[in-house]
Amino acid sequence: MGPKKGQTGGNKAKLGKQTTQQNAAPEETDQDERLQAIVLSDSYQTRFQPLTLETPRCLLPLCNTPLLEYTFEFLALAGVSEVIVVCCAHADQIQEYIANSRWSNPSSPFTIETVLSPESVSVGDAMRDLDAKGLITSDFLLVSGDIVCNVPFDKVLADHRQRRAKDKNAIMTMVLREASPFHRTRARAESAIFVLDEQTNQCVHYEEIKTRKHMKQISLDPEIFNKHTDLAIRNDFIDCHIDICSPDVPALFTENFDYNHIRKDFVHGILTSDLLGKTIFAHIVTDNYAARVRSLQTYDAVSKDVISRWTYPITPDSNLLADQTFQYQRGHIYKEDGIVLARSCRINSCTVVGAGTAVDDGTVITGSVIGRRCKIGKNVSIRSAYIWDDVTIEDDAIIESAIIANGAVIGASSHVAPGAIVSYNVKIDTNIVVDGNKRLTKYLGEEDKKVDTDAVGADGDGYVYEDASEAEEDDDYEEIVNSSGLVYNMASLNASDTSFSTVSADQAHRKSRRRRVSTASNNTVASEDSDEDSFLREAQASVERAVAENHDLDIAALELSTLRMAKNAQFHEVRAATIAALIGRISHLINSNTLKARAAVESVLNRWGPLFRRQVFDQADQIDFLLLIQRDCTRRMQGSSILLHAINCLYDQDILEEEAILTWWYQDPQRKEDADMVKVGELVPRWLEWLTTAEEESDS
Amino acid sequence: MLAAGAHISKEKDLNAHIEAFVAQIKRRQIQGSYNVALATSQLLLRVVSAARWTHVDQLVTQIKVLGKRLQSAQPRELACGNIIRRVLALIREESEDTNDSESGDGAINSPLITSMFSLLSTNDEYGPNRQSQSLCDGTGRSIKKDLKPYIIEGIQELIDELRSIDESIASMGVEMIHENETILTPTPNSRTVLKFLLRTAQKRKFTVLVVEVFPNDVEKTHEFALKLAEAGIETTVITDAMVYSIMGRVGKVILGTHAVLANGGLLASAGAAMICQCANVHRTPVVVCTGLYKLSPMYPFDIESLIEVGDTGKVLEFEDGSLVDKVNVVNPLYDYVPPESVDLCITNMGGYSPNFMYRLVLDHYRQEDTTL
Repeated sequence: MGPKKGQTGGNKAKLGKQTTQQNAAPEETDQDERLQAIVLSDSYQTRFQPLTLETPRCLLPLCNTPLLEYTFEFLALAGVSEVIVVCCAHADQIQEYIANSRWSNPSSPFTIETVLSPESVSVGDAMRDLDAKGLITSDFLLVSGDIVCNVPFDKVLADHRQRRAKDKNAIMTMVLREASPFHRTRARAESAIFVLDEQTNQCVHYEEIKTRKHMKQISLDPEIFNKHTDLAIRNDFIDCHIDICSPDVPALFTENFDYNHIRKDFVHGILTSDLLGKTIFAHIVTDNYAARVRSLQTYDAVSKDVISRWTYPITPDSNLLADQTFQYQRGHIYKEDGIVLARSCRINSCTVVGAGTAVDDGTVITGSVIGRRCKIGKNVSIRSAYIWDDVTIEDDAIIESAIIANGAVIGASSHVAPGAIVSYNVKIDTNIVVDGNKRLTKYLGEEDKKVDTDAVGADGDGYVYEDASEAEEDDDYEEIVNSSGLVYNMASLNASDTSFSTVSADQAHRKSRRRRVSTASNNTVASEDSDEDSFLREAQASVERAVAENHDLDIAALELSTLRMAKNAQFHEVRAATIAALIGRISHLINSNTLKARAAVESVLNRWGPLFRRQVFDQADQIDFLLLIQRDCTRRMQGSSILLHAINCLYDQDILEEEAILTWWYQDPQRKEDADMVKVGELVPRWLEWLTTAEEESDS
Repeated sequence: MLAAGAHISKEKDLNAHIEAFVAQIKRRQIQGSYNVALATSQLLLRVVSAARWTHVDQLVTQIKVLGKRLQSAQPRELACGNIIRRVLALIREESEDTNDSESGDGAINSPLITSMFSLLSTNDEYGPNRQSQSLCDGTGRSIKKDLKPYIIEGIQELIDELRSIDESIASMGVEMIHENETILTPTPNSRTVLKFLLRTAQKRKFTVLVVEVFPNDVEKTHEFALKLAEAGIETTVITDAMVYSIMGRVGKVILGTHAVLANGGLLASAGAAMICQCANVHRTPVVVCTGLYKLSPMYPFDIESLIEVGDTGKVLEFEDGSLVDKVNVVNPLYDYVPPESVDLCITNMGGYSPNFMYRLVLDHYRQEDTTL
């Protein structure tokens, strides 16, 4: 027996080499370096609420298979050998699911491990957590738990490793799928502009597009044009956040503790700061499929893509789960075994029907996904809807483009309008119309509410879900929520068509304008100027943000000094930016009648004055500083009193010394440069008077 | 106890192996009928060498259950099922041989004459049977012990046959292709056809027209043509649309295939059916090169259920958002070519008319295994 076993083993090894050519490449690379993958199971978003109140997003079914399966399938295809799943919300459910799945079996192509990160509220937090735990040893694949992708990964990986071997600073490769700007699979709310070097595919700039604000321009560092001859400014990618990262990435997250979002903060941050000297590359995929389910709109689109086999071989009839028995029929119809279909019912194209479902006479189902064990009554009409498991739909109901979650009951003759979400176990009475913008749930959390009989009918069960956080959050958030719901809701999309077309027109403008810049700004003088400008703008914005969000003083100071070093700016500019921001804040407080001049100055400067300690060092600096304040005050209402109180306040804090103030006032010619400057200083002599008398008193 | 533990761990190992195979086949990491056939036979070799049985029928049931599992992983990849049926036939044959010889000797007692006998009995009746067998001494075990090496040897032979199949088909090329003939081939992904042509080129001088079967095999077409050209064969790549105009000058159409059905019909690359029709109209002979492992005992009652539908992205570019949203694209990977369109099948057993395929099916498979 012994020798025989050895023999078959040998055969198997040969088989691996000979038959699975596609497999051979990852296996070989495995020998050099095992590829780790980090799966972020949480999306840190609330777009799928109320569904995600009860189930984590990555376990929501897409074409009757949990989203996480698609991600794992992709990782298996990519030749990953070690998977770490970071769990946050609903961690117990995810852990249980993974423990019971085939991925934990010995036959799994990779080892799988779950890591709890219960406190993280963003990708950044999760990365910092991972860094702290020290789990990452080599380059790894960072994905979220909701991607669908069939891109063969060996080429991407080989390219990345080649770049890494050449240059240790190439810390990240983003995998981007080309698609037209209005492609259904692109998330409308999260499109972004990538500026890439045409030859090397190095990403030199990243800018998020905010659809609502009708952003008309982006600013590029002119330095970019010196370094790269051919730039492509592109807005036609599906960015599904599949990144190959080096271990530097989590470390950088730890260093820059304000980075939260992997693109908006991290990529943008790394690319705008020269100091770090890290580079990020893009790998553009033109052949295969890559997408991420990040909103209801993309849920709809990706479902359609899976059904129409863009994701081949990851299609329903691959039966990813062991107990699935889907079979393909012409017209992209997938049926599982054990379905009861009445003779007169019609299952039209692009439909998936799960096992144990019964469809009664006269019912028409088009372009929809029906889960397992559903009961669908007579003469029901279901169009592009997503109906999960154990749903009961009674006679004559109409369901259009909605999501009906497990265990829900839709009463006879009810109508679920496009865009509605009926969450777990909600019961809708007969003859009820559920509007397209309604999200119904039975999950209450800690609240205590009565059944919304208006929404679900007298015999129904469920509540209208209102996103509590929506009101608190800022515009951006609302924009995302609106557009994700809105786009999914096809009816209202038509109404808002015009707004979308203006966006596209803007984009076109932007593109052409940027092109012109690229030809013009090879002039180095121009580029230096704007470098300074951009520093001033950014530094000012940074301080303003710190003040508005009440950051820690140290953080604000650190941010400023990082910026200063990145842009190679002088302290003069730092001071100018800080003053502009703080005086701006003061005058805002005064103008909005919140506080009187004195109180406003004191409130701001007592809190933020210490910032100047790291900007003002000797007497010359102080004089320069005074001049800057004076000049800034000329632009403000009540400038003279702001100046007076500011000087007083800073003197009290020992940031300004008496000698410097006197020198500035009596000796500096710039002080009296123009009429404005003189006018704004009109209140100062009185204070100087007080100063000298006070001094005399203390002297005597 | 130790031995039992080792056995369990081995079984687990094997199970993991089977699961991995199923996953790979679903993921299309093992692709193409040859690769699938080879991998399946190697897996079966492992299974049989690890299997324990007191009665051959238990082994047959085990393999059948496994076969069903493997087959359902990718029901449209017929090669997997074919190999399983071949192995089943092999096991049955071996067991019958031993039974024949032993009953001839008259050396065994009644509960052991089982092969035919147990066909009529149900599974439940195995229980007492097996017990009595395990209780019974030497003679019962001798059958089992004798059988295993034979089966393993049989599977090894099958693997060897798979490996040498292209060679034996290629050697028939000289009889098929004559000097200065023009050959048209619409299946550039077929290794068998490639070897067939390359081998024949050593003796004959001929021209090959390679049809660029859009959309699934365009790249392979170019590789294929390159290999032929490197071997000194005059090669031209033509588009699918040109087939009709050029067919009049073609001497033979040589076809590779994905599977051959019991009625002699083929599942070949999409587009092959039309080219065969065209050849029929021009009275151009259509010759199919196929290994026996592609021969399936299935009849094409439901053609659609046999044809795999592939990646939509090959037909329509996914980038084109406006179209993707509005059209339904179907990209079948195979065509069903009816047996009337085919003139000759060259197998590793020699050339046969498609009408004769049912006979080969009967020779190689057992009818009771047709449905796994």
